[in-house]
Amino acid sequence: MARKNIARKNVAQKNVAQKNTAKKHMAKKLLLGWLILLPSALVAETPEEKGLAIAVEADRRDQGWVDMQVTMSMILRNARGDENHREMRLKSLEVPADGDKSIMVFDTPRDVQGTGLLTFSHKVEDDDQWLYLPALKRVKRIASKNKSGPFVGSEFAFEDLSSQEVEKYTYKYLRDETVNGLDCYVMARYPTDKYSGYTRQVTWIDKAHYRMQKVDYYDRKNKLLKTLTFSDYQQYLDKFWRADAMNMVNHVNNKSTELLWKEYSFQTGLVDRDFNKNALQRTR
Amino acid sequence: MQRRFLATVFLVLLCAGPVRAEHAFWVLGSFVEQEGARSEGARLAGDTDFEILLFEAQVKERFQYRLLTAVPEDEAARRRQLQRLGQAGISEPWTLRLPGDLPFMETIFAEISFDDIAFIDDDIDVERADEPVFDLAENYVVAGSFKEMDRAQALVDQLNVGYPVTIQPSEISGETYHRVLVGPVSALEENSVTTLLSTQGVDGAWVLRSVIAAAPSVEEIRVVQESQDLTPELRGLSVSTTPASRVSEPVPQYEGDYNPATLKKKSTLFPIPGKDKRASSSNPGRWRTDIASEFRVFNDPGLNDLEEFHPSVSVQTEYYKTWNGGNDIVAFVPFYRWDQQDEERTHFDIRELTWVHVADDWELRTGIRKVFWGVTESQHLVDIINQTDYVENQDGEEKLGQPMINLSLTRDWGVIDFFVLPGFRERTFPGEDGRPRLPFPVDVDNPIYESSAERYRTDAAVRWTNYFGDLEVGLSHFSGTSREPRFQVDLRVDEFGIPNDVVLIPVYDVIDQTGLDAQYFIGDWAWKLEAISRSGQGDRFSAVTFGFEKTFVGVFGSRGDLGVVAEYLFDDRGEDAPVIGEDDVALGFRYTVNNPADTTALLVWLYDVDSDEYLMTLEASSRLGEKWKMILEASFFNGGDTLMGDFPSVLNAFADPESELGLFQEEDFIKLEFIRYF
Repeated sequence: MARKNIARKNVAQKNVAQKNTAKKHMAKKLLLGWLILLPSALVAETPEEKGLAIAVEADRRDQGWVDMQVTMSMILRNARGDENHREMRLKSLEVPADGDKSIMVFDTPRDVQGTGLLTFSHKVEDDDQWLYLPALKRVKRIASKNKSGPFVGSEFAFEDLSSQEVEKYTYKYLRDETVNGLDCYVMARYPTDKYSGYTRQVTWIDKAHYRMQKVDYYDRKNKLLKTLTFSDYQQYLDKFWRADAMNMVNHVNNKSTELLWKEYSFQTGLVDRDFNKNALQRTR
Repeated sequence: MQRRFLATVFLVLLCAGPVRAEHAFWVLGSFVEQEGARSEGARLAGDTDFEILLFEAQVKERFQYRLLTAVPEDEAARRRQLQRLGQAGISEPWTLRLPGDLPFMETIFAEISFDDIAFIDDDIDVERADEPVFDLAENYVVAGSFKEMDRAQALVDQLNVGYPVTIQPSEISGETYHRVLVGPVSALEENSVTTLLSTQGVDGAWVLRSVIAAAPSVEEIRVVQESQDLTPELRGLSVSTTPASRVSEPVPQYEGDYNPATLKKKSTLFPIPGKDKRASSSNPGRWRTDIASEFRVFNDPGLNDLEEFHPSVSVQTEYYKTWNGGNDIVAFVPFYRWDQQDEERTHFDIRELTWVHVADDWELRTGIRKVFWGVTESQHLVDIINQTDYVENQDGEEKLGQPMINLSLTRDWGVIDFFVLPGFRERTFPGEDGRPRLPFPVDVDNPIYESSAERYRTDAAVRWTNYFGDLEVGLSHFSGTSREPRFQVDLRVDEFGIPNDVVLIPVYDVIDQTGLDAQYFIGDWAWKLEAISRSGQGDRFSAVTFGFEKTFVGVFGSRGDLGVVAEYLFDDRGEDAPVIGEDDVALGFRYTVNNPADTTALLVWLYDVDSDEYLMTLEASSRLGEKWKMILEASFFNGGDTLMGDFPSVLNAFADPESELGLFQEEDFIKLEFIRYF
């Protein structure tokens, strides 16, 4: 038992040291963190707390990917089934204490090839966004408040594709339900930003891996507008789950947009300087 | 390999030689078994940080193992030490006085062996319950991953970093890799460890960020290197931590067993199948070509009785190649236009022929390039690096390539760009048969330069940009030949000496221009400002453009967006200003349909407050399928005084400082363009 005491002392010292560094990154998350300390926290008191705990846990499980590169095909389908295609490349950098940074560049259609979108997302404040127009060589800061508009004519709004930070919503656990054969938590989340195009979203998250399986979007009149479904989840680095396919169906105009994600690579060595206005201009 | 966790970090060391001739010791315990004394001595050493001595005393023909510590002479120190001992569970030790030369005593240090690990893990689990989980997070610097154990071990032997170095096997895509971990390190230490590793030949070490550390099975970890001079604290940590879980593991992407921390090439230890980890961003080179055919139809023959139908074809090609992991880029963009009516519009230009080199916090861009500065929409006061290719479009948005050397530095306080601009490009103007044009032709072959170096003068510019939350700011200065010419009016006379024509000679002064541009968001309103102050073209003058842009999302119950731009254009030269925007209002509406064809329409209304003239321009475009695009443009003039077609009244109108737009009143046109992308 004597030895144990010594060890305990060392552990205590270490905890102090770590707490100091952890404080920096995690101060904001401290409260949230408490909720996920124990599995029992998930059997939380109120539906709001339980909803938040689920969101926090899902977020926690997706931490540590550092950086990511992926190509994305977007297929726009109208009610008659006509298709339109877009190809783009996406690079992202995980920013531990803040929202992620990303650059998205279009490869097709050719008239917008080289058009880039640089986003610094933030947890609470508005994202910072810059658009690069290659024909004019112009970098234009754009108003990220216009988040409810369609992204390049698709059924995805800008806000649907932005970094889904925990702080951007409030939550409420609703019930358990099976979707895609998976046992899921069903919860509602309410955008905190009044510029959002939604009053609420209902999300299905599987209990086994906390992956988003389905989202129902309710418009400002609280009417069901769109449904997003995720399929073909793959696990990367033995940890991070990414859906290979996402399909957004608009129930009002019967159009849909499918996103197919390809060639995921993680921890490729991207750094901060790969995500600034200079980087935006040189990516074609 | 033996399974025992060789982390017997604090060995019992022998302290040879006699202790000083002081006599007083506190006796902290007496033991019959030496083992028990050592164990308790190690505990006390750990808990108190005092020098604990093991004294073999012979008592009644039996050995007793006594634990001693010296009594300080100073009374205050004595009290403090007693207090510490009390905290360690030793109260009221009795004092042993030893006269004369002291017998041999052994110093005991804290001792931890493998058996402790299990206890420690238990302790962590206990503490986890009331600590936020991330407090137990651990970060390791990964120096390399190897298929072969030997090479991992070789790297371990090579490193000397002052931190524990461990080998951790992990399974990636069915293969076992031996990962060399340095640490644990704190967030503050990550950088210094990575830097230290780079000095020892390991480039690109990455940080394995922990998640909640799942207790690993002991078999996975072997401490394979004991640094010789570790502080006790460091060693303690190395033993009592649980390495990060095996989750975040880069997957090797190529042949060979090495990933992803790369050894520098100069290292002779391992020949590395060299592939930059950022190589995925390299582009081996590609060509892309657009061909556009364009038809412009003018409303009437105009003041100069010119053709109404102006067909034209243009080709632009882009070659783009990157290497060195995307850190070196070349681009070549030649452009050619053929115009049936206007020989000046039939022209060739190299829009870009450039090499860009990217380093950590700077970029060097050399060659012929295009650069845009500014934020406003109706005109671009601040934008000055490139000459306007005016024959392309009267809106001034098309630019000629400019030779330059541009060094761009990225700093905490913003981006600063230095430009050296060798050589000057003259503005293009429509020829005698070209449209839309001023009533008098511009003699582009005989420009007048202020600089004796003429078009070979080397100009310079500098620009700083930064953003502070919702505020974007740019500050720039340009010193060189003005991109915007003045005109010298040359009167031509007939054989009777009567003036019958005018030729405009472009005059390029050397100017200094300081520019400020700013954009600020208030909600979804973007407020914009551009201001310049220029000297060298007559008296120093200033000009300003300011206004806002606001987008209404989903207008009229549609999925379309309506963007509204309103700007005021001011020039303090007033009516004398040889530019359109001296006291003008610009109002623009951009409607974006948000359909798959990306259909947009932009309507701009430019109103000259003084002369009551206005110009309306419409620009609409839509994609046709994946490879075609259609653009429709129209330009209509209205208001002001109607021009008579005779020479004296045209000359009068030209000389009238109030009227600028009015000169284009007979030049209304519609343009239809089809672009095919290859």
